[in-house]
Amino acid sequence: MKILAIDSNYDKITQGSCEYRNRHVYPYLESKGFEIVRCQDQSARRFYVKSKLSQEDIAYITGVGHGTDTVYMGEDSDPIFDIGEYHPKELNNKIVHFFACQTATELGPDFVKHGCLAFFGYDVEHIVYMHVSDAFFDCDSEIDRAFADGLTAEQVYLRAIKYYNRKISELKNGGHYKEAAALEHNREHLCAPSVNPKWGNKNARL
Amino acid sequence: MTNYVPMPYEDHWSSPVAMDLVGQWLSLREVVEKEPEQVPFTDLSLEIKSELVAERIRLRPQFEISAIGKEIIDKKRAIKEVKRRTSLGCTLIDIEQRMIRMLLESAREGKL
Repeated sequence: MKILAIDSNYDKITQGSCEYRNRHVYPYLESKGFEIVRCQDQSARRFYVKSKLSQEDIAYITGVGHGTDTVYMGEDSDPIFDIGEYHPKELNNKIVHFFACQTATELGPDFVKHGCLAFFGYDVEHIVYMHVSDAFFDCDSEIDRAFADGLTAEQVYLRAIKYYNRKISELKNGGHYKEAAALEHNREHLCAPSVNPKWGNKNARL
Repeated sequence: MTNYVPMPYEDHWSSPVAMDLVGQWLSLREVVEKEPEQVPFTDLSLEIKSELVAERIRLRPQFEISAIGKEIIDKKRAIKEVKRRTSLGCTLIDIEQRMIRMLLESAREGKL
């Protein structure tokens, strides 16, 4: 089964996240038998993503990039998925997870209307304290790891929330209050089928 | 956390967390030790919350936060966003509200 990784890598936060995902997330997914099709750095652009989606049998899309209510962006803010500008078939029968700001607001539900099985993302700005960025990247990446473990979207959500709670407690107990509060904010804005069916089917799995 | 970098000491006790009945800020120490009549942060209007959060950010020895899509937000920009109550500013207000709750819990449990 193939996973499409669409990762921007051009500013401090996307560079940090892309490096984290290459180091800690994709090796785990590969160890579970998935093949990673990479559209990273300069190939995190609409042209390459469209080509991969038409040529490869992709089951899951994940990525880090900038986002707005209606657009998921790649390298240098190249619009990769923009409402009204992508082909509905591109998302059909796929599960999608974006580590990006705001894409759950309109883009995620639009994906689901066009056949996406489940969408995971955030409906506001996603905040990261870079001096403890691994804690922030780690929590979000639990979604990818849980899907790779064969869980349903509902189980993935519960596992991700549990992981967020553990990291929030670790930060708070270590006296890192502002960091814990930011992580809690991100947790509260994680959108998934369990939160509302507009983000898909909670029984969806890879 | 593999990439933890220590930050400058932050004096949580002297930063404002609430307002008294005549409109003066109350610090965490005042709220916890004196328990004065107060308007807790959660009951303040969004306008007053934004002023209190701007003051908390101003008092920090260092402030730097990142949002995916907005790069690094420094102290000056954070205060501006909070005072204007933009989408990002409201996010920062929400985070401070959560932080104040955590600080009050820890202080009252003697863990701060």
